[in-house]
Amino acid sequence: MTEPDPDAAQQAIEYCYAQGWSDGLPLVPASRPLLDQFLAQTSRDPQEIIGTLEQTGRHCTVELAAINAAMAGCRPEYFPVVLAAFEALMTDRAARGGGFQSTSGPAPLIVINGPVRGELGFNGAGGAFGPGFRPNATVARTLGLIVRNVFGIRPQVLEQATQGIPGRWSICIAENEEESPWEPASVEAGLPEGTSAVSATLLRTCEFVDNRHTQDPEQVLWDFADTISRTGSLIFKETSCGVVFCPEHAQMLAAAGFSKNDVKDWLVGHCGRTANDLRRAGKDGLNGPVRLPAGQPGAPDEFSRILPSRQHVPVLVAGARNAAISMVVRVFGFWTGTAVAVETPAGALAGQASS
Amino acid sequence: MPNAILDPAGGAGAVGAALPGGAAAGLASGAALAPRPRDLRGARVGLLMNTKQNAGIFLDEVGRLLVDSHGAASVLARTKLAFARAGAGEGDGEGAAE
Repeated sequence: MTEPDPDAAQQAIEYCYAQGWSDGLPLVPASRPLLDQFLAQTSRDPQEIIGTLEQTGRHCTVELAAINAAMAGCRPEYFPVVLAAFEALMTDRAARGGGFQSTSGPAPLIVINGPVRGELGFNGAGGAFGPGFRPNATVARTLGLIVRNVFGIRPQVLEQATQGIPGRWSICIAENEEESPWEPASVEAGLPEGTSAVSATLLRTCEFVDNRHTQDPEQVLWDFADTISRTGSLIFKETSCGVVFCPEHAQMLAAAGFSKNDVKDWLVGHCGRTANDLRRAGKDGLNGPVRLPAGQPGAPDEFSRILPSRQHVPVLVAGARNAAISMVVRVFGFWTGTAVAVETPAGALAGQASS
Repeated sequence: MPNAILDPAGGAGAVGAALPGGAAAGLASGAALAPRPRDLRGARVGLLMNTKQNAGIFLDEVGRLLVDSHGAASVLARTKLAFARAGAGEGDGEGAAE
């Protein structure tokens, strides 16, 4: 192997910047031979349309997704996961309907389940929210590049994020199925156990809950309820908010008899604010589904729940078993509960044989 | 001869990027604009409030001006039910029907 030419590489990287393709970090310049390696990982037609943004009339094909995956730094074998992640995200109506250009600047949360985690090296243990792991970082980045380059949504043009959020285009976690006491998200979504799959939704932000203070499961859940219920996050009457539990919190809750649905039900029943709290923040009244200051004060202690159903409370498990630190993940639209199976290499080979 | 660097945008630019003459790049690619009325006289105009601060106050005034100064017959005001939903989902049909 000849030594790589750093000067040629730098020129190619600068060329990509000059075209406006970059999210700010260097891109891997994609060439036809590299693209062909990506396309060899799937049985799908390179010209198949895998996503459409109605408001811009833009379509994403398998081939364009592959070019962006290559540029994001993915290895070719990650490409079936990219396709599943993109499909999963596009099941979220908020993503299709304008979320990418929203003032909220929401970030995709990508969740990987099944054997593909180990096969490709997706991290779901220590530092699951990153950085440091190529599959997690580059699959998430690919979605951002697709939105920028294929859908044409760029910051301060059609994309109107007021501040954006830290971690946009970098939140991709594997579930820590080995240390979770509960069924994986993919199984909860109806796929057979052991299926490699991806779920995704848009997030408004992530907020930690550090409770190493008590062994009482209800006290721990109250701590989560406090973060979930903060008034600053409340715009509408109802909201959707999940938790990525660390293994210690999840195992403590499970040992106390809480199933995943028990946790969801508890949070549905206990998350919310009193009329007095909401009034203090100018959010005690409603105009249809939208909060606003009420004209007349109501009963000050009247409690308003904010999570209408279990489906509004995705529960996942990731992280290391070294502290009691979990993450509240504030869903931008609605968690669809869909998991998209990852195409296997055998499927790709079969597709190529038949084409 | 080195390989060409592939275009991740498939030849398209950013949506909404300004072009000379005031046109916007990409907005019309594959999407047809709805027919525009020649004027608003006698029309019932729908206004969709996006829940941002003062949007209601602003659109109330816009509606008043459309009726008083441009001949609109009436204004139908609706509020978005959730983030990022273009026409508030089920509200789309309601607005079109009305």
